[in-house]
Formats: sequence, structure tokens, C-alpha cells
Amino acid sequence: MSPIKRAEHKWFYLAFWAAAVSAVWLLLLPRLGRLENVAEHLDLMESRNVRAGAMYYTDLEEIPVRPQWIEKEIQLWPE
Amino acid sequence: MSLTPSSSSDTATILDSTDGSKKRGWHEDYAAMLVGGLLVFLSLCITWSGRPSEDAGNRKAFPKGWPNELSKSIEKPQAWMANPIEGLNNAKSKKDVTLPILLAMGWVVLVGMAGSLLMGRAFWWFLPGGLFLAALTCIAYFLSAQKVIESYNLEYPLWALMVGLIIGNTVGEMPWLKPALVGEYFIKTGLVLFGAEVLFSRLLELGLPGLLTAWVVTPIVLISTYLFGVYVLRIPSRALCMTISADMSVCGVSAAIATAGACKAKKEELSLAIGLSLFFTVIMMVTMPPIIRWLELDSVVGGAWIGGTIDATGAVVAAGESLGKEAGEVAATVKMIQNSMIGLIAFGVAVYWAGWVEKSEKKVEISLGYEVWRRFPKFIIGFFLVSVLCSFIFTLGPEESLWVDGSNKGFIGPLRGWLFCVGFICMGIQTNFRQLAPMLISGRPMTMYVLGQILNLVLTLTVASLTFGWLFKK
Repeated sequence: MSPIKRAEHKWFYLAFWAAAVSAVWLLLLPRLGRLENVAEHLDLMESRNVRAGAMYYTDLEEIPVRPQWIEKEIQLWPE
Repeated sequence: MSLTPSSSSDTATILDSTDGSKKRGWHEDYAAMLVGGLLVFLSLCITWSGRPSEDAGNRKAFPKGWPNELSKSIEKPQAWMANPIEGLNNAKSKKDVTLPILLAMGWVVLVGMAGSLLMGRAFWWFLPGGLFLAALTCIAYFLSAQKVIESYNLEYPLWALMVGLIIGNTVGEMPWLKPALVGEYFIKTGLVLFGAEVLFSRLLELGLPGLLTAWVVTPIVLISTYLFGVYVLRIPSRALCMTISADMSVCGVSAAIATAGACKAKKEELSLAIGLSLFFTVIMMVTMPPIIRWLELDSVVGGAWIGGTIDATGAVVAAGESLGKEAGEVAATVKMIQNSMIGLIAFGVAVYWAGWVEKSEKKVEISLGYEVWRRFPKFIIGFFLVSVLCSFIFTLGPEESLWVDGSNKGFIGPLRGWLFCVGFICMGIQTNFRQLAPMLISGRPMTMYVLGQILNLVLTLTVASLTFGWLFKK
């Protein structure tokens, strides 16, 4: 195969993958999000203000807070 | 001293890919330490300069820490459902985040150019490739911000790898892109920044029960799974065993990245570990809450069980919250304590690798101290020092803790995310699909992960029941 043909093939493959990714993200996933179970899960996450995609605790919307009963037991900076 | 680019030399002679001339520069570990250290210092200074005049130590008034002016210069795409343009607006604050996203891309290019300069490369050649990589990073972030994807904790490294793999396995490494493919430098700089977020002081937040859950179970699972992979399953790569063990026992992707750096795992090994972790995280996040309800476990014990076993922080909070508010709080705090172990584990793994694993593989008869130092991944020192410094500041009092949190939430955390993301794009571009296939086909890494996770589930439930259900019952 000539180098020009090979280069054309490369860009064709890239275009194919880009189209496939776009189809999944723009068509399939929004439809999946409308399924009852998934929609319930999404609503719960939104109502609780949970960023489920967080990799580390600093990526969460807010720094995790200790339950109040523990707050009373363990003082981090005693006065 | 060696003049070839190796992780062991203090400086490296790098063959400039554009003009063929040899230039003398720093090794990427030192460049990452300097750039990362300066960025942490800058963020702390700017956060300090904007400290509130009233209620500076009140966490309720400042739940995200002190305000940080640098936060205006960095943001990532927001959650969207059907139209990616929605991701340019923050639904809660109604703020347009287009400019901060563009500025964040600018930070990526700036950090890359600084690294190229320090590493002795012609940094202006970095610019075209750097801009392209920043754009790809933005695309990967948009893919991860789709609501269904985000709510099931399929984190950005997976999509960054996918975007990189697509580019690398179709059009390949274009000549103008090569000078910008400094993925290891980006990840190491991200890890030095990450040190600021790994606060040892947080280990004390849940007192003895938290310490027992994190400090007893995690090391036992980590070491047993690693030994099982090496000696029973006979997985040829020890680095792969260690990376999988760390991501499964500590906290998923972030632990995998830190440990892979410490044990010098290959790109494809880290990719595999991350893929496994995210796959099982989704399964556990969906299945654990119904199992806990079926077992009729106390919600606090259930929360601690979730926090100690599910890999990723976001998935822990999501699963915990579906059991109730208190379970969510306990789960998130237990995970936060486990998160804080990454620093010690990465440092310990780096020492073990440099002193024992690499030594036994190569049988070099030189002084042990020198050998350990020569092989030690130096950026881990930067990571550890930044972690110790920020942990120390954090312990000084409530005001200082909000200072560190403000610096991390406002700037360091988001920038670390962008640097990891661009690092994974580079890794994807330089990885061949065929290199991943043999590891996937053998099935041994997956067996190791599953058996390790079963041990983790049993031990964590036992300790969580003992501590939160009996010793420290509400």
C-alpha cells in the first residue's frame, strides 16, 4: 500500500472511532439515563449532592464531615 | 554518571527530537519536584493572602476551606446529559465555566513548557503538541462528565486512556506531537501536587475505630494480595501485582497512580490496574447497599464496610448515601482515612522496590545505601515532603486546616486532575493495544484482584463490626 493510501486509512480509522464515541455519548448514554433504574440513581445522586465521579476526597463537592456523635467523642483541636 | 535518560541519573542528556542537538537538562523527577513544589507554595500563599477576617476557623462558614483566588483560573467541564454544551455551565452556581476551562488548558501547557525547559528540551517545540494534548484532555473530561458515566464512577483516567489509545492506534505519534509527549513528567508533577492532599492528620478523624479499619486491614490485604500474586499465581511482573494490590486495598485509581510511580510499573500495567479497579468499583457500588440491607447490618457498620472496601471515593459516597445520611458520612470518612495512607504506602513501596526487588532481580554488588538511592524514584521524596508539610500546617489548628483545604479544593486538586488526565492521554498515545492483550487473556490479574477483594470484604466487615458495632458503638 502506498504511503498516501496508508495515511488516508489512518484518518479514516480515526474518523470511524470519533463517530462511534459520539454515537455512544450523544445517543446511547442519554437514552440509558432515561431508564427507570438509572434515572432513579441519577436523581438520588443529584438530590444528595454527590459527585460520584470523584477520584479523591478533595474532588467531592464538600470535604466529608464526621457524624455528629463522633464529633462529640473526638476533638481534633482541644481548646 | 550515566548520561542517558534513566530514572537513576541526576541529570540526563536528552536527544532533542526536533533538531537533533544534545541538550543537558534535569531528570523529569527533579523537574516534577520543582514545578510541583512551586505550585503548592504559590497556592498556599494566594490562599493565605485571601484569608477571611472573620470566622476564619469555622468549618461551617467555609465548608470548602478558605477562598482561593486561583480557583477562578481552573475548572473542569460540569455534568451534562444529552448536550455537551451543558457542561460549560455550572447548574448550581449558574456560572459559565468556559473561561476557567480554557485557563486550565493554559495551566497544562504552562506546566508542560516549564518541564520541557528544565529537562533541557527546546520548550517552544512543546507548544503545538501541548495545545493539542490540552484539547484532548478537555475532550476526555467532557466524556467523563456525562451524567450516566459520572454517576457510576467511571473516572476520567479511563476516558483519557481511551482517547489516547484511539489517537495512538490510528494516526499515531505525529512528529509535531512527540516533543509534548512527556506523560511521565505530567503524572509525576501531578503526584507531587497530590502530596498536598494526602494529609496524615486526617487519620485521626475517626479515632481508634478509623485507625483500626484503615491501618490494620489495608496493609494486611495489600501485602497478602501482592504475595499471592507473586508466589501463588506467579504473575511475572511484581510491579503489576503491587499496583493492583494497592488500588484494590487502598483507594483505587489514585493509589494505583502513586504506587505505579513508586514501583516503576509499565504504562500498560497501570492501565490494566485502573481498568480492573473501575470495573469492580461499579459492580460493588451497585451491589453492596442491597447486600447490606439484606444482611440487616447497622447503617454505621455498613457505611464503614463500604468505605473500607469500595476502591473509589466517589463510588463510596454514592453507595454510602444510598444507605442513608449517616452511613454516607461514615463511609466517606473511612475512605478519607484510607486515602491518607497513600503517602506512607507509596514511600514504603519505593524503599522496598529500590532496596530489595530491583536488587534481587539484577544482583548488583554495590553498597546497599547507594543502590537504594540510585534506584529510588526521587519525585516520591517531593510527594512525601509536600504531604508532610501540608499535614503539619493542617494540625496547627482549625484555621490552618481550612487554609490547607482551601488551597487544595480551590487549585491543587483541580490542577492535579488536569495533569493526571493529560498524563493518561500521553500514556494512551504511546500504548499499543497488542501490549495489553496478553495480560488480559491470562486472566491471572483479575483472579488476583477478585480473591484480594474477597479477603478485603471479610476482614473489613469483621473489623468494622468489632469497632463501629461494639467497641465504639453509637
